[in-house]
Amino acid sequence: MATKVIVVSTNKGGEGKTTNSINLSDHSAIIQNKKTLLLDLDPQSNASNNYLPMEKDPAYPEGKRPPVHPAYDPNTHKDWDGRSSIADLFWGNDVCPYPTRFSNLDICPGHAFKLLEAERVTRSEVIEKIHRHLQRFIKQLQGLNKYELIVIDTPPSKGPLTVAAIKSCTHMVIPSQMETDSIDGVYGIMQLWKQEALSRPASDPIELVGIVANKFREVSLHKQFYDSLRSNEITSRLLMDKKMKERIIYPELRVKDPVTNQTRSIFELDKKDKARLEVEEVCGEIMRRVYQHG
Amino acid sequence: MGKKKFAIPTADFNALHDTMSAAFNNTGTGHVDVIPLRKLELDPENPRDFAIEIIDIQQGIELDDPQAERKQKEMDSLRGLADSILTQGLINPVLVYESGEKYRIVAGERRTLASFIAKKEDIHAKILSSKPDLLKKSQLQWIENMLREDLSLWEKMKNLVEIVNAYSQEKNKPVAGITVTEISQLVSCSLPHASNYHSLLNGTDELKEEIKKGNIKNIEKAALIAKAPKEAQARLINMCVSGATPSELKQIKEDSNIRIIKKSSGGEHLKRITLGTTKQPEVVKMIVELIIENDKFLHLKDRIGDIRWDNHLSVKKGFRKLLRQLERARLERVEGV
Repeated sequence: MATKVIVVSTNKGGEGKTTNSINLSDHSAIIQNKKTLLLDLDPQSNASNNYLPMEKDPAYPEGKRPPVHPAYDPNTHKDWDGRSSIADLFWGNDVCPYPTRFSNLDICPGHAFKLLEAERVTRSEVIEKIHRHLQRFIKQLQGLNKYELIVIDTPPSKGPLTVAAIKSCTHMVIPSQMETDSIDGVYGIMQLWKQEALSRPASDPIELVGIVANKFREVSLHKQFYDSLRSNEITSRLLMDKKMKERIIYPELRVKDPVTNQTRSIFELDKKDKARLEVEEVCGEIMRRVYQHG
Repeated sequence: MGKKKFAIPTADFNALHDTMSAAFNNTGTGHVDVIPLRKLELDPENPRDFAIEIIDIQQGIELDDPQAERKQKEMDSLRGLADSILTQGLINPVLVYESGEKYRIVAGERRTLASFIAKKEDIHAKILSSKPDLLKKSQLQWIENMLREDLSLWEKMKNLVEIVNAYSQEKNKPVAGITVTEISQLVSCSLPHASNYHSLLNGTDELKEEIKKGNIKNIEKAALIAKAPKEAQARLINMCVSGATPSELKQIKEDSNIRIIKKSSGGEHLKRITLGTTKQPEVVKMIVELIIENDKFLHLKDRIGDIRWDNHLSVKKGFRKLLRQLERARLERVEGV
């Protein structure tokens, strides 16, 4: 079966893109046993930090860079500094995925400085330097058939990196709180989806999997916003049935253990844990929709 | 205190809805892009109206080319369009499909050739991902052609014949059996228009020849002639070529109908049949509508014209017209006129 490429994206920060990217990647690798690759296109590199001991970049202290790759051997790799990120793609360099502690999950981590620099390309260069590079990389991966699923975490913007991710993907998931500014963010990213959907041939569609109601609380605002999307024939098609409630467990899981320096996956919680059950339902629904498209 | 009410602002909601709807309804229909002109090529399977090739424009027409004179005329005829493209750009993208590294033209040969004359580097194109089938291609060309102000009746008819032939092949149905309703669906037009096209398709060779020569350019006149008895057509064609108006042609046609009806009766005194009377125009309306909604008589709607149902005189005249048309239609069926 062809490799599926899921982009998790919305125009607004704090909506749960990274949490959903991590949950989807873990679900695919741990629960569904699929060989999975996570690409972190967000200069904040929070998804990367979840799986790898990302380091402060001495050249750019506000941002992080990947650690030295476990496969790096200074004696044999003379022309390589041992670090690899997805940003290397845009500089014409090879990209080397990092293994994670989950055997089925690899990651191409971000690199704050390089990703920010990559976004600074001019309008005339963006197609060749950003879009096409990522598209070719994804096509190569699909051709190699090494991964069954690729998940792409994106920055909260409609810049070149987000557009490149959308142009390279087969499916799109939009997490959103049920609040006004968040719905604005959904609308913003849907313009990119629509543009891409209309430019693709029928044989190579970009499927909008759905809008995941995220950080959901049982308050009138959230319930009524959700219900109004549900009540319309067109918008209801894309609203996921399962919601992600606002829970403290999600940020808690991202805190690294002081001894192991590792985070925990939601799927390492007890099988009856409410949060785990909730995420299993959401991810299960996303995967069902992705794989039903063929 | 009552329950708080919250709603997504209507404008935002509608915007979301419209975005989704547009994407769902139009995915896979092709996209518009600017492509290098050098990547365009003519479809070798398309019968062409032009003799001139792209290479003639790029390298000049060879003096010893047997079609040199024709090609030069065609080049000259495209210069106006070329100038317009230079000054105002291309208003409507050409329609192409991907063929390897190149793009083949489905519709827009004139615009493409004119763009070469204008020495443009690239061209706006709507790109289909694969070659459309014959019926789809003819229909797309029809839509393109409708945008052309200079489209001749003959060019329209040729396109229509392609559509009808392709449809006949696809449905395994003889061309003669294609109905007015089917034509209206194939080219997305009203039934009266479709009735005109149907008549033209079944017109005589003489009529088609005059259309081809450009002597008959008006579709209403041409359809009127096509619907007339064969005996009257030669006269109608002459009158039309001489500049008769549609009303004048109609009158001649009506007179021909009456003469034919009288002739076919063999001189026997016509007995009138009175169909009764009513004071209610609505009853007449019911009868008229029942008749002209029948597939066989759809084309009569155009012939009887508009009836003002609030005006007794108009109703009387309209009903009489219908009776005459029915007599004529019956005669056509019986005597093959």
